[in-house]
Amino acid sequence: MAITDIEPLSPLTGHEELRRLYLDEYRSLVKLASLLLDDRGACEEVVQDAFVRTLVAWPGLRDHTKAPAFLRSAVLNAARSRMRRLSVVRRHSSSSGPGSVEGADRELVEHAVVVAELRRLPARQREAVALRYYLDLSEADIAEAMGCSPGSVKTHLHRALATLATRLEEQ
Amino acid sequence: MIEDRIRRALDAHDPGVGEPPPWSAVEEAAAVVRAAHRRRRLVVSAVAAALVVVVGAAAVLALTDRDDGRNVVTEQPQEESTTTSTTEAPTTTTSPPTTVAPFPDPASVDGIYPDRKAYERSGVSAFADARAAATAFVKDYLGMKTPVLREVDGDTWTVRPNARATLTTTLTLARVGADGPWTVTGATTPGIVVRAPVRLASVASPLSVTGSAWAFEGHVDVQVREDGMKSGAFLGQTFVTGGGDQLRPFSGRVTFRKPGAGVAAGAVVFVEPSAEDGSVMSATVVRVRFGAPSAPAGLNGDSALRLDGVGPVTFGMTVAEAKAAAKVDLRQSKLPACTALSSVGSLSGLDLLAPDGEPVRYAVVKGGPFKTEEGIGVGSTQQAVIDAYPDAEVRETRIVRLSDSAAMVFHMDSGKVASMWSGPRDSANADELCS
Repeated sequence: MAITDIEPLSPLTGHEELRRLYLDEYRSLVKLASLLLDDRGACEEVVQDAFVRTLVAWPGLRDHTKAPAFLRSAVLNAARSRMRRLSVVRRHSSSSGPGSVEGADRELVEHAVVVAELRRLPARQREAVALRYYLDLSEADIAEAMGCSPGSVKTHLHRALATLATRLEEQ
Repeated sequence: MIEDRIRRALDAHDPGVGEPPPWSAVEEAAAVVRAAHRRRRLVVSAVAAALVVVVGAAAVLALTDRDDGRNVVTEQPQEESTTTSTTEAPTTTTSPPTTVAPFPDPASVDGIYPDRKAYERSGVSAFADARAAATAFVKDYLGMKTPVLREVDGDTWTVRPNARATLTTTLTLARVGADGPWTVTGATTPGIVVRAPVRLASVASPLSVTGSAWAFEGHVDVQVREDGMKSGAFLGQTFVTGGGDQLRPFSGRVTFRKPGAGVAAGAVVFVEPSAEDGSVMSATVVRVRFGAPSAPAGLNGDSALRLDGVGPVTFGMTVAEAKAAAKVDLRQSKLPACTALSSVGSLSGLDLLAPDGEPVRYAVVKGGPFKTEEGIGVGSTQQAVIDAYPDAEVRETRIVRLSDSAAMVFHMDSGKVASMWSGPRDSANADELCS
């Protein structure tokens, strides 16, 4: 089950539902974070931090059915914040390129190249691509998660696809 | 197809995630955060209480919320007005003035909102006191749902987005004519300090915005609005990223469509949205005029190195055009594959390079007063560069900032910027220019 399929939470059972969400969706959200960051430990911290924020914000959340959207936003924000602090060197080091899967089959290499190129995109473009092509969110949901307009989402996606197409063609 | 290829790769991507840590770890961390929030609220309350005591013999908290259907909490000013003017009516009058000019134009005092349309819609008497105008501004123009207003003095008010919030935005108001209705002429919040555009600047699309911000995750939404537009309407928008932990520089560029016929002015609205629901927490609003940007000054110590040029010189200008735009003496010399224009005297340290047979393509800063729009110059530390450009690539001896077509390269030596240049994107890997 992807996080987009989750039933809206009942306010009465909020904490319990949030706990269930944690158990069910922890991996999916870590994977989302890992498309933005290349440090798995950081990804796990980002997701745990997102649940902490959601739990703290719970009493003030006017619409508890928006918990999944709130979580996605929290993961994006925390990943963005983390990206600023992490050494940019690591993000762009060659170790994240196809060399790290040397010996694996051609398909794996190709996938790794795509993920490596995704991580080289500017932060907002990277987020838009991950939300669109990994979580299959609509432009409206992406806009909500990223805190911008659907028009901006279109722009980010358009630029990201153009850049990826060029760079992948060069590979 | 590129989209399928991305989808397949993301599906196949396996970061090797283990079991989640126990839920109790999340609950414990949340308890720590809540305790920290409580401590912060206590400190804020104590400071507020002290303030009340200091100013406050006269501070009587009688809520006098005038019910004009706007459902706004208005806090009483902490100091009584001590106006001693004997020639003018008190500015705090709540009764509408008996004579006001029909539909005076707030643009005459560079008012942002209520604007002429609002005057026509509600009648000028609806804005006969500053509180009503401030209320209209924060609700209709900024889009705050439950604002809490406080009068600082007659023409300065502060607003918080709700009763619990501590973030404040300060509003400046003016009257249209001596006894006319009020309008808001500007808004500032300490967390969003705008360096450009300045108030009443003449702006055109694309508009460069720079400044410093301290907002949730550094995120600040930017909108360009023309007069007559309220919350939700804009000519163009973007977002910029400042600091999430302290004031840090931001820069961005917003493209916007042409204003309506006859609309000469508007505002650039910088907003910190709520992390919780995207509602407006605080804002800085700068009044601007539409038109060609005012004639650029020549090259001077404030000329910033940009991805597309430096100060008044834009890449693509011929050598002659660059010299004319600079409006200062530039020494022309011939390098192996380029013509160089070098600044001299107190401005020395900048070289503009035009490859043979081409216009000016590069600007190289080796010293002097020249910095980037974010304040990075020769001598800035590596951390300062990374803070200013979080998306820049850090390489062995250089930090590279890239756009789709351009590059800005900072050469580092002993952890500091030794020189920097901007030019076409493919120059990012060049060891030497014009060699």
